[in-house]
Amino acid sequence: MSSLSASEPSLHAGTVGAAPTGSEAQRAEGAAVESTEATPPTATSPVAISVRDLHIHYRVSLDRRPTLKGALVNLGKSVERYRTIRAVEGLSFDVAHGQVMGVIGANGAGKSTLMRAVAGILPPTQGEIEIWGKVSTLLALGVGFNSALTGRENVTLGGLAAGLTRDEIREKFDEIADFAELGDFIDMPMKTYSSGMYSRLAFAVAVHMDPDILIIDEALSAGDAHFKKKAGAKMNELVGKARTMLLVSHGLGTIKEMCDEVIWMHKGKLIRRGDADTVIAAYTRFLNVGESALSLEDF
Amino acid sequence: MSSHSVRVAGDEYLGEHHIYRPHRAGLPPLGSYVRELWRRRHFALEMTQSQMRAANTSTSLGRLWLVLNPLLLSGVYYILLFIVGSGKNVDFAQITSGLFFFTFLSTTILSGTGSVTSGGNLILNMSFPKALLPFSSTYLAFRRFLPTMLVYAVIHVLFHRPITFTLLWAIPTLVIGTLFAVGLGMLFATMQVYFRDTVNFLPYFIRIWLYLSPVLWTAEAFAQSHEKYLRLAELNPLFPIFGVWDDALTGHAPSLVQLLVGTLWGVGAFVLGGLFFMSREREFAVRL
Repeated sequence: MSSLSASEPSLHAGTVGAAPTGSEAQRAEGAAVESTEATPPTATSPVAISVRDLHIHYRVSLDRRPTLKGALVNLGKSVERYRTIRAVEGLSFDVAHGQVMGVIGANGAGKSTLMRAVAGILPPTQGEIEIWGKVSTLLALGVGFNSALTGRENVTLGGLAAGLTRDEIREKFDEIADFAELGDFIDMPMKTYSSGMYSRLAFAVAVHMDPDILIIDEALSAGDAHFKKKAGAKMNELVGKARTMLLVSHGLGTIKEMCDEVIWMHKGKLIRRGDADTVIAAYTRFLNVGESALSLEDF
Repeated sequence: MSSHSVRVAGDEYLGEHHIYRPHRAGLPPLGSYVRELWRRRHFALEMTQSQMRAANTSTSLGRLWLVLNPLLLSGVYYILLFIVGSGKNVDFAQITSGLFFFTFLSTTILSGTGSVTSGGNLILNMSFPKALLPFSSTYLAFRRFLPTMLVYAVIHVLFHRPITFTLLWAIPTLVIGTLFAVGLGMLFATMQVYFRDTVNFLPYFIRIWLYLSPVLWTAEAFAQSHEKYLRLAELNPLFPIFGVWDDALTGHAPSLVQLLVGTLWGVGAFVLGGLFFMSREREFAVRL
């Protein structure tokens, strides 16, 4: 999409200091506001995800556990018991159908909040998100799974949770089981699984849901090196089928390899968007770690 | 639908279209909410069945406990009432029928209350109508209630209670009671998100409610012995519901007034509890 092209200048990363705070970073954030104008989709590039001036603020309780007893005890006292977190501030971008968009940024940048908002889990405080297509999320592994049940039963449960019908799950079951490479373990309770086996099955269920839009948050680290390779190949296959993907990862290698375009977020704001190489280079300079082998590694 | 969708219409992937806008406290569009709820019913049923299976595999007594537990409780209350009442007017069949029904209602309320906070993993990672959680826990409570009704059927016959068409009144009473309990469950589930000790207070209220309702005693006996408190007792929503339940099981046609009042409580609690729940459910993910 032209609106997301790398040539759109938003920030000269070279000028940004190493620390994420300070005047340089503030300048970066200031520049980002200017660069986040909403761009309407055009007839030639069908839009799958359109985020327009998205703000997400939420209040977190400072109590260890909000209780009625606590509320009654503090009644009438002007104690500040909440803090407002501005997780996403004024984000606008479009993702075209078939595009793989990577999202990078330091911890606390608002990446996961953005993913949850696009998935319809977190409500926007301001702005609007418009989605065309069936969304499948891989935000956490094994959502809806019950570890007392067998892998086979959990495939059904996970599939139904993702909105598939029983027939569709039956149809896909062999493919999922083969992909997860669990062998006889598929009929054992999942509490007997190693964490790698658990992740493999969860990943297998998520990628076989036939989504139009796949939202993945740090899930590629499922399993061992062999499975990672297989997972990567499966993702590439999905991309090949013109699936839209939103991918959050700290593994810059994965992002570089898979994404057409990358968004760099910092403290809830969009700092830069563009092609993977340019944005990653800017981001790594910002972090002052350089494109070392370490930063390209999936953790 | 905005103009965007018009521009991209015709594309094969446009099966679904969502717009997420700020609405923290408002109600979601009810039509699509109910449709989505219906679409996900298989998941709710499977979740319930998986919980039943998981519970049954963890203990070999499993299913037997579902029956033994309320039966033992009935035995305890029978002994208690026998001692307190010096052996007068204590009817084991009446105690079991009331207690089994009450156990179902209180389980529905309590499990509904905890359903949202214990479903945190689902809520944080999946977009779905959250009413699915209390509905699923209600279905689980119902599945656990059914075997106790079989036990009651045996007791009903053993104690020579009448087998007449009035027994059929038990079915609408069950529906009314369930609506009432689900409504309260949804109300408390919302409260539980804001105040995590709600579920700790509830068992005490429910225990007091048990003693204040015609579960272990009958409405008729109460009317005779405490006539001046009758008006007050009738304010209890469970008074008409258990009144009709007892009438149905003892071969009496239920009072239409009690039936009407009970229905109003049931439907009222369901609608209000449901609306309150739905109006707040978009905030659940933020609060969990």
